[in-house]
Amino acid sequence: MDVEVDHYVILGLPSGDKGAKLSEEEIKKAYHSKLLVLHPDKRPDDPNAHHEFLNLHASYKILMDKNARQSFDEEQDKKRKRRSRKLQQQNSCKRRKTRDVVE
Amino acid sequence: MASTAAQIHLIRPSFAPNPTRTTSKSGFFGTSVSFTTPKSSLPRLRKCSNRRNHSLRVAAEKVVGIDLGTTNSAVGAMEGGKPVIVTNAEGQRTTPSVVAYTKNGDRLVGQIAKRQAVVNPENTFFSVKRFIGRKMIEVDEEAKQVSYNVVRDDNGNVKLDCPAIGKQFAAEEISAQVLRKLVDDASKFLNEKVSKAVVTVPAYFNDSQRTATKDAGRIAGLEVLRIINEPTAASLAYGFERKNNETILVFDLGGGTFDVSVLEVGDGVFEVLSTSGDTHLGGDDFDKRIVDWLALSFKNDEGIDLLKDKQALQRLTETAEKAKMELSTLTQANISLPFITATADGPKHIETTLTRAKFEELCSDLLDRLKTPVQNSLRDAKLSISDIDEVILVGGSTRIPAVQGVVKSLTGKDPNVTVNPDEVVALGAAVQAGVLAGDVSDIVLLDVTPLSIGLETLGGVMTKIIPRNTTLPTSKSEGSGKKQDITITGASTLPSDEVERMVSEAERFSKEDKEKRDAIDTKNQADSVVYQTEKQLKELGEKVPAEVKEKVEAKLEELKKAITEGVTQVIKDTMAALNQEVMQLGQSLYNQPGATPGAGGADGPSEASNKGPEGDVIDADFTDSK
Repeated sequence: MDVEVDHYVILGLPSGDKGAKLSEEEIKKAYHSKLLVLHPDKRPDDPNAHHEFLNLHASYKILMDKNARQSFDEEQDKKRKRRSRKLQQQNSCKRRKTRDVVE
Repeated sequence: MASTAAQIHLIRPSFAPNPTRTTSKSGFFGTSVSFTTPKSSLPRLRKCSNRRNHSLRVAAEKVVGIDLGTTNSAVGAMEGGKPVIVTNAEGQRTTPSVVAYTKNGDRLVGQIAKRQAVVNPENTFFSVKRFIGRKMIEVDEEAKQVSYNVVRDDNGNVKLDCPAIGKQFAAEEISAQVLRKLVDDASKFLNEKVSKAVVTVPAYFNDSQRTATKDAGRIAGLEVLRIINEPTAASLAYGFERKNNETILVFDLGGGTFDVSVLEVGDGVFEVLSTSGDTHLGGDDFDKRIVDWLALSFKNDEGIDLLKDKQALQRLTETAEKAKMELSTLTQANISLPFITATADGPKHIETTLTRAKFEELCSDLLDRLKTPVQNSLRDAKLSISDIDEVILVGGSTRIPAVQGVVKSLTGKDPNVTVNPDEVVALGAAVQAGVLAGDVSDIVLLDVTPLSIGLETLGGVMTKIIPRNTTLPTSKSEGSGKKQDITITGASTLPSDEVERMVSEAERFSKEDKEKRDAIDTKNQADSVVYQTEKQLKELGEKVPAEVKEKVEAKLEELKKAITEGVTQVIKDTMAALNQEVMQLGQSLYNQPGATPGAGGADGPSEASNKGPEGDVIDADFTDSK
């Protein structure tokens, strides 16, 4: 279920290899600019505000935690490889391919 | 958790009349004049165009920021895009957090309450913040240090005994009275209704202390939109107009508590990395050391224990505070307490000198206790002292040179002195109030409450550890959180029905207060009108047509009678009637041949009364015209 979340995407960053190469400084910057929009204080009328903010915060904490980020990156990497293998096997399913390019 | 309900209060009408945009702009040109509804900060105007939901907010009324301190309180508000301090009715920028009841049941709040403390120690409540949201067993030591009686109620909670009116107060009720005064004064100053506020508490306040503070707001008829931590508020005021990315350490030594917070400030995001402190350490403790020293030497010399004499204790405490303050600029302070007590031999006095060195010696263990929280906060933030860009001093006690010395030796830095330690917390609270009112758009606050496991953002979200994918909780919630989780209970706060009762009681009292004040004002005004009118009649003498004079005199007698009877509304009515007649009088003078315009007509008694009893206006006018 949660496996589908891409923390880079949540922070408005490029995912995959590109994401894995980002510095902590860049991640923090992205987090800050998202915060100024998504913080519940900024949209008191939005019922989803808390939930989205918590997701943002959780993703940020994961990416700022070296171990967690590394295992997430590896997980993503594995998934990508598995997928491309599957893709080659089945030679179909265009839907999958666009997944990494959300946003 | 304390702030879960906050979101609800923020909902604003979802229409955006464009004129508000215009008024907010004009706020920049005439900051002090503009009392119209929403005042926006410059950043908001810049940014709101690209975020739609911002333009939907219409600030209906001013939200103020309140620093409810142990010894003094302050109020801030956003004016013309900047946080400013709101002065109280006495014209002061801070208000003593003191409430007193006189022997005849009158309630005093602020400076006037503090001033009479010596003669009324049992009914003068100060340092109430030390008791709010606490169990009696937690505050045994504090209870011994105050001149009023602190008692335990059936639930083990703290109650403050007030013999003058035969009542026991919850600390919340006393704090509510301070809040009420602060807000009343603020709405006079701002010329705007104030019913919403952001209130600050020490970072180390636990859940029940926070809830109790919120309850105090409710009892005062105030909607507390958010409780924020004092050092965090200080950082907001400090960083409000700074664009740099900085890591700052806030060192907040107030009247009763000591807080240290490490924050990262950048891109408009204020994130608290760690917080630490000591709930039993503040300026009061430094005073106490001087008091004990004075009392001990008096006991050695005279064999009398002054600490048992409430009135003497109060005088010692006031003198000690004064001496401590003097020692911030002078190297020695003279202490003079004539007639501190009396024996069979006659009156006894204290006359001595306290040097700064001696004071520092008396307080050396207190100074030592400042070190651990600084070290802990750095450790929890996983930083070393070289990572800190600025050290911000907050709280009056940071003026003590020895305290500054400790900060300097701990951090190797000269502390930042650009902020006023007495005002910075209220200013920061005003910034957050501006954020919640939609007046400040390019700032967000991320804070942690160290006493709960989990993370509370200032969006009022409380989450037990980070959801999904489970990274371990971050250092800040882990480091300082674990030892407190045992103490978190809601039990030391008031039951909600009791709060309700206090709310309605406070409302009733405030109504009675207003009526009382109105009665006094009306009577004084009426006395003045009588005096002015009689004076005019006498001075004008024969110039007044007889029939006009008769009418005025008749109304005058009615007013005098009304004053003795003392019914406010009747006094008001008769006063208005008299004013009418006096106006006629002015008119008749004006119409007389030879009279000059401006002689009488403009000087009705209502205006004359404003000029005080020496209003020789009419005489002067006549001389002028001849």
